[in-house]
Amino acid sequence: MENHSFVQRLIARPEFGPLVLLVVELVVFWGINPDFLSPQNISNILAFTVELGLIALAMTLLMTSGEFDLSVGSLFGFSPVLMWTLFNSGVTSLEMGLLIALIVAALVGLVNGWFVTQLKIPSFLVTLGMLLVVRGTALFITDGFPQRTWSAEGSWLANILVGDFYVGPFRIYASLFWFIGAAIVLGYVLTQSRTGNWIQAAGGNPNAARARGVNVNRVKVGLFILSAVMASLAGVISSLRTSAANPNSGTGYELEVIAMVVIGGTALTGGRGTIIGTVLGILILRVMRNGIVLIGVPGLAYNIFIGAIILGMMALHSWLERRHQAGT
Amino acid sequence: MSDSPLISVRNLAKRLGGFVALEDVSLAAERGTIHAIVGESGAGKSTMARILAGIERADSGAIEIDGHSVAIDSPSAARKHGIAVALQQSALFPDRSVLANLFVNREPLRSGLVSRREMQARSFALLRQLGLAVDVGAPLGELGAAERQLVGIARALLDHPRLLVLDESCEALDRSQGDRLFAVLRELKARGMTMLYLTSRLEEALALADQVSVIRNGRDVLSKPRSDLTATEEAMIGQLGLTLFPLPLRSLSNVAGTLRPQLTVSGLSGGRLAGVGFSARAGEIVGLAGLRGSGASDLLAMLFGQRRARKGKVRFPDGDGLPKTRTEAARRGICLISSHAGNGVMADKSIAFNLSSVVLGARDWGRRWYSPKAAAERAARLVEALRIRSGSDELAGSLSAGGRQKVALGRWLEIGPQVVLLDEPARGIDIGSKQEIYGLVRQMAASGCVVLMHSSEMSELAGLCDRVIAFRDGRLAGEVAGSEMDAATLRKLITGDTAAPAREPATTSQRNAA
Repeated sequence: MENHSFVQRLIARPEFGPLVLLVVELVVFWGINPDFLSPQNISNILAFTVELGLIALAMTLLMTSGEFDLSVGSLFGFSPVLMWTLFNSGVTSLEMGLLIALIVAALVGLVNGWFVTQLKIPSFLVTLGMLLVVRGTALFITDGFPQRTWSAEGSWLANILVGDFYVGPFRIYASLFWFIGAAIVLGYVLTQSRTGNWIQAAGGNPNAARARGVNVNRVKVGLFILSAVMASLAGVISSLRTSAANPNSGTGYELEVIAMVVIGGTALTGGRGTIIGTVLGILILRVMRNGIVLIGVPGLAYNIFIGAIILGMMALHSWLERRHQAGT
Repeated sequence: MSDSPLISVRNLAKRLGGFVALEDVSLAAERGTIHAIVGESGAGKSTMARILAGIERADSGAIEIDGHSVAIDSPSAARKHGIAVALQQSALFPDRSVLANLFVNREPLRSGLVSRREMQARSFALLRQLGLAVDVGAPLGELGAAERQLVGIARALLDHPRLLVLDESCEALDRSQGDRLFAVLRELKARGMTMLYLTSRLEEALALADQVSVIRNGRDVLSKPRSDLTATEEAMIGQLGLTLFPLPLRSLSNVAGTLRPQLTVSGLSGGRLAGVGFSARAGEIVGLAGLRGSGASDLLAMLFGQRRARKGKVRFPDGDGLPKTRTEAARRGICLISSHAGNGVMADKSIAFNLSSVVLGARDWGRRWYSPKAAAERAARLVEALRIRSGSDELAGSLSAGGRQKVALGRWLEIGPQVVLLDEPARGIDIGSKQEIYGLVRQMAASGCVVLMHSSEMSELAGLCDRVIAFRDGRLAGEVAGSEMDAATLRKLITGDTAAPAREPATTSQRNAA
């Protein structure tokens, strides 16, 4: 049973492919432009990476349960808009605005989950509809203009979420710790907790899971809420950091997030998911975006590389799978 | 302890769509006994297992536990009443580890986290008892069919139920694994566990059970203690199945004896198959017996051009070799009908459309376009001939599994096939449809087709085929024909038992296939 060497077991892990890809990426970019690994650039990469990363972590659990959520990008834009609108109009304090924004996001997740589990509509259609509803609402309440934002620096809320400080030459935002914390907690939840087993069972074989008494619908609704709240939180963090609340921000993020999760090795069809893989997937895509610019490729060519990576990773996965089946 | 049986069900009935799965079943299991329920597949056994597991609810009827009427409306209710059900294999999670499968939704926790060590400790002894020596961390999908089945049984046992329901639990097991399982079950019985053992094999029931019930077409037709069963009754139960099979239409198969062989296979390898050779004449039904993974399915897939052969020669009646694609196969009058998911029937298209699908795809003459009028005529004719009890413009998905299988078969009738390949054509369908499909198969043979049929139900092969070729581990394991062709002999051939089967009591050996 234990006759596999450490290396063999490492290679057999689903996270091995993404890890190799990330290392190759880092080496190539660093070889071409040594500035790539400068403290300033690393701080730059991390600042925005963790914001998208928060969404990807929640999406990993949701996709493991066999569903996905296209409305996260629009919630990313909508939540800060709602928070600032409430604050600017003097109705609530900033803290209260944040709380309301999160609650509204949770309701959006609840509605997504209800449509998917009760009306049995595929999550693709449900969340595509919700994407338009949420984005449309954001545009409507702002007339399409960015919201006036007051520099939140100094408020306790901004300090906890995006307070920045220097560790040696690295500029670190507090959001990095939120991301690390979320990754650890969700990683444990997925692999070590009973809830995680429910999630994997629900995605792997929903009927068998129900036959064992797993409440598949409740699991899925819970994960839709989680993903919506995380998207909303990420949006607020991003808005506090950049002091901006644009109703158009977050457009297209849903696909980027799904790409991160899939590249990390989570099955698009559900049943198999890995948080470590997702963290690697997040870094692969964000490092790619940053590195491409640094080595002089036009930034607009970014999507070509992302697409190529996704295709390459999928080809690798299917090749491994087929080799695996031929072996048994 | 009260005198009432641990569990009794009365007048259980259940409809699945348009098909009556259970009509009226009553039975009772005494404490500390094994009660076998014998029935052909499609008789309603699995539906009953699913009702007892709380996955489906009966339309009517009552379930009593310890003499009290209970409602089993969810899997957790079943568990609360001490019922555990080992369902067939689809109830497992192929992506997840063996351990995770064993403890789904029953994970032991240590300080809030799932404890792998605890899971290993709890399952270790049981897995060894069952003879399941596998890496418990490996994904279940990497295991063989027998091992997966044992994992399913072990999972039910880990609930320490008062009532254990086993549904076709020996289906994928070989002799020694089956004997091992029986030993475990007898030991559990001795410790007071009650069991319902659902099976389609009479000899298993006779070897294991204290009480034997027979169900047919969703009704219980006989229930007696094992010791009260007389030899005549045993023979009667054994032959229940035989009435299913229509009498052979001898007229043509006698003539066929004088014809030269029409389909010859020599040294064929590919998939799990290694160097197989045989021939089959027009007008006869040749059975291919073999367990899952024995290569019989692979053979059919190769003959249909669905799977590549590594080497070997095949000569079809039309003088050519193996078809390269399925389309080529269809155009040359070679057809494959299998019971695999979907079997090519488009559930969201009409019955008429489905019945025309092969004609349009396979025929490279005449009109190329789909003509609703021609399709309607064709469909009207076939619906009549196949005795499909729905209008031809209804969706194929609205048919029962049996009706769908008849459509799958009927599509091919229109092109007048020369070689008919059947892969478990009657698996999991109701008895009425089974009978009709057997009749159709006979007709196809009588009209001059070469018919090859693979099945894992030996009684089906013994009842329907003119001779049977047995496969084991990708090789030929023997051939039987005529009076020596019975289910027990076939099973011996495919599992490789040389000794007289211990699980088959002496009383049944006088039974022979008519």
